[in-house]
This record gives sequence, structure tokens and C-alpha cells, in this order.
Amino acid sequence: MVEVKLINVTKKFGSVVAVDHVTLNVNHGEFFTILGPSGCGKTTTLRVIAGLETPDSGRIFFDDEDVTDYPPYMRESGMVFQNYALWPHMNVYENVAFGLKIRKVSKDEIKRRVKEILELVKLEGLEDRYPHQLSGGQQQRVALARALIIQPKVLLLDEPLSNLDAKLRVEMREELKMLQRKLKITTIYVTHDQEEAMVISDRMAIMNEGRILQIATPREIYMKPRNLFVASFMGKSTIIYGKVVNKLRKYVEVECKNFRIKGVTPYEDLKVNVGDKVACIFRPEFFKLKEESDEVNSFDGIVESFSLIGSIQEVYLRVGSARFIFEVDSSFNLNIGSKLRIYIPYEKTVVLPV
Amino acid sequence: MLIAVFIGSNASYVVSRVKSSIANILDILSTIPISIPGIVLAVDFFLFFTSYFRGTVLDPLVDPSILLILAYSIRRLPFAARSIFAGLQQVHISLEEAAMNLGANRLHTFIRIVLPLISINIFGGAILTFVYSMSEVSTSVTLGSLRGDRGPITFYISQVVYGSVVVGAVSVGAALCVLLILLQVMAISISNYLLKQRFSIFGM
Repeated sequence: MVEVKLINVTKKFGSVVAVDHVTLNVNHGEFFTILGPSGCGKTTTLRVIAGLETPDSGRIFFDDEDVTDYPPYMRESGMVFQNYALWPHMNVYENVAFGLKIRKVSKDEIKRRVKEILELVKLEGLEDRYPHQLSGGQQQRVALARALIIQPKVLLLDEPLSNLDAKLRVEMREELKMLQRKLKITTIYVTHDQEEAMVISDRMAIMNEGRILQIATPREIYMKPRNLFVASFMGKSTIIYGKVVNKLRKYVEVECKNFRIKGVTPYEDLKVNVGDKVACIFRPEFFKLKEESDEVNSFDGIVESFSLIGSIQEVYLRVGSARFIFEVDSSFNLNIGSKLRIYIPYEKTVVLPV
Repeated sequence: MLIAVFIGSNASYVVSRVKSSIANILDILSTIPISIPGIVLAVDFFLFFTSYFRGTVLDPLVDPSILLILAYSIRRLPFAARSIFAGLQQVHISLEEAAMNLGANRLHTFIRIVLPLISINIFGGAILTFVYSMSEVSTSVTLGSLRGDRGPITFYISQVVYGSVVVGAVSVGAALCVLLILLQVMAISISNYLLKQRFSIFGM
């Protein structure tokens, strides 16, 4: 178990900058997720950590050890590939035992440890099967066991759940998290699925076009996104553009096309000044239905559509040229075309510079 | 055959895994022998080795067998190389990366992961090379004629067939052909049988 540090790591493929001055710090035993759309450089970052790609510049540390120039087989990292990369000519036992055989561990110990790890991933009794005789979920477990058996310093997971069906994916991610907690192994997980990232990680990094945009806990990223990309990538939201007309200590006032909005900037260093163009971000669950009139942060609209999602209803409200998404209790009676007034407190309105 | 397979495996590996101009040149080099006529190669070899290696084992006047092996290796390299290249394209790079990630260096990875996975293709390439080499004519006839007693089978067949007009013994030539065909069919059957075995061993 180590602390993983990346300092100013850059990797180019031809003229494409896949990883652009990435600096991040993964703590001991932490479940860290790199989240971003496909092609954002998250997998390349993971491969740089594993040593499968050599960075053009920057350094990588495992604790205080500089591993930048180590080949992959010296890094002691355990990687689970997106396609699992199980060797088709070996059975489950041989696949899992490979890392120990290479390390010249004695036969008896290999046997004992393979048995142990297969029990851990719930694959007892399947030692003699070949990869093609296993289901997707089982293959995934073999890949995980194979990586874990060498007791790696850091576990690297490259979209390991993306090839599984929806139900299995949810099951596996719970199991993965339990396993990680039990083993207390530093884990770096790469995914494009924001829901998965939210559920599974202790902390996460949002990446786009090779750059890290924000590193924080899932809660903080959701509640206080640092920029527009993070806000729109994480969860659902309504985004309204406008211009700052008034700046007070507690909030800023934003003049939009049809309305005036009060909101807060989530971070001190994100400065907005009067006259700046900004975006206001509303999360659907912070809206309240309101009867009495209040000019600021209240929006009158017409229900465009709604759908029942378990305990809540998701409603699209047409307000002039804008379309708001918000949530109401599923017991609330809605009709398409009916008028509605919604309200959001200014503390829940995030204002970000554009 | 072994030489062709060895060079073929290595060249193919580089060609399929390294993306650079060197890989392209290597690719062309391993394929180009297909365009060299056997007779040209044979005459080349004859002129070169008789003038610079006169009287040594490499002199075709002393013993053509080493030169014949060399000539076959070069001429049939593309068949081995292509077969192995096709196999390597089937082996996803992540299978190798996984091995290296778990602590295997490049050599270990090649021996324990890549070789077993492309063994079918290596074997196929080898058999193909063998079959083609056995029935090779132009080089065999040209170089082999220099020391008839050490010449290859196709050289004898041609001798007998060309001589048959005079001697009237087509039957001897036919017999030799039957022998050659039998040998070839055996080689192919063995390869087919083994490949099927391999299939079930690999469980693919």
C-alpha cells in the first residue's frame, strides 16, 4: 500500500496531448477515481502509472520512490484491463498463479495463495476452467484475483465494469468497494460513468482533454463544481447564462434574459466581477414549489414533461426560452401544460465564470 | 525451415508491435524475397560463393546443401513471416501488458504468453515453408546440379524427366514424384492433426 504521486505528467501521441501536466496525489489505501468522457486521457494516465506508457515529462512517485523510469514489471502495480486480458491458453489457476510463478514463489505457497485469493473473489472450484468457459463477471473476478495475488502496491482498474450488464455492474462495484476496504489497498479506478464514480470513490478527479479540472470528494464535486464542464458532466442540472450586475459579500446577482438570479461562487479563488459573463447552475433536487410571489430565483413555467423515478418525479419546466429540470415528490399531482412556480434558495445556486 | 521460422517470428513480432519506419522496412524486407526468382538467387549464390569462398564448406562446388538451406530460408521467409504476423495480430497487446504488469520481463512475456498463443501460426508457417521448400525447383536445379550426389529431390526428378527422352525411363521420375507427393501429404496431415490437438489443448 503506497501513496501515488504524479507531478506535472505530460504524454503526447504525435500532436495530440493525451495527458496535459497532470498533478495528483492518491493517499494510502484510498479509492481514487479518474472520471472523464472517452478520449480525455484517463486511461493513458493509468497506463503511465503502470509503466505501460512513458511520460514525455513529469515524475511519478510511489511513496518517496521515483518510479518514472521503471519498466512495468518493476513497478509492483496490479492492473485490471478493460477487456480483462486473461490468457486464453491458461486456465483460471494458471492465470492467477502467473505473477507468483514469475516471482519464483514455491509451489506449495502458490497453491495456498491462489486458493485464498479465489475464495476472496468467490471463484472456488473453477480453477480448471478456461477463460472462454467463464461468464463476463467471472472473467472479471479472475482478472481481479490475478492482479491482487501479487499484493501490489497499487491496484489499477481500467473501466473494469464497462463490459458487464447493468445489474451485474452494480453488484460488482459494491463487491469491489468492499474488497478494497477489506484489503486497504491504494486503488486508482478509471471510468466514464459518473454514477459509478460517485458511489465507489473516496475522492475523484474530473478530467477533460488531458487536464484535471477538479480533485475532490464526490459530494464536493457535485455540490461545488469548479467549472462548467464539471458541473454539466456530474449529474443533471439546469444551466442559465447571464451577466453579473451586482456583487455582495454573501451572493452575486446575475441578470439573465428573462430573470434575475442570486447565487454564490463556490470557491474564493473563482473571482467574478460586475459585468462578467457567468453561468448559473441549478441542481434538480434543490428546487421548491412555491405559491407566494418572490421575484428573485423564482421561475414561472409550464410543465413540458414529467416522469416517475421511484420516490421522486423528474419534471421539465418550460420557462420562456429556457428549460428547467427539477424534482418533486412522487405524490405531487402533475399535469402536462399546467402552470407551476418553482423557487431555489440562493445558497444552492452555483455561479461560475464562463 | 527453422531459420525462416526464427527470422519470421522475430521480424513479425517487431512489425506487429513497433510502430516506426524501421518496422516498415523490416516488413518489406521480410516480404520482398517473394519477388526474387529462384534462378536469380541461385546464380547470385553460385557467383558469390564460388569466387569468395572457394574450397570452403560454403562453396557450392564442395557442398551445395548449406547454400540450399540458406536459399530456401530466404525464398520462403515471407510465407512463415505472414503466417506468424497473422497470428500476432490475433494476440491483443493487453495480453502482453498484463504479463509485464504482473512482473514478467519482455523475454518471459514472449516465451510464456506470445509464443504459446501463436504456436499454431508458427507451426503452420513452418509446415508451409517445408512443403514449399521440398517442391522448390529453380534454385534446387541450379545449385543442386553442381554436386549431383548431394542435390535435393526436385533436382533428381528434373534429371530423370529431362533424361527420360534419352533413357526412356519416365517411370523412375514418376516414382520420385510419388515419393515427394507422399512426403508432402504426410507433412500436411501431421500438421493438420497436431493443429487440431493444439486447438483442444488451448481450448480456443
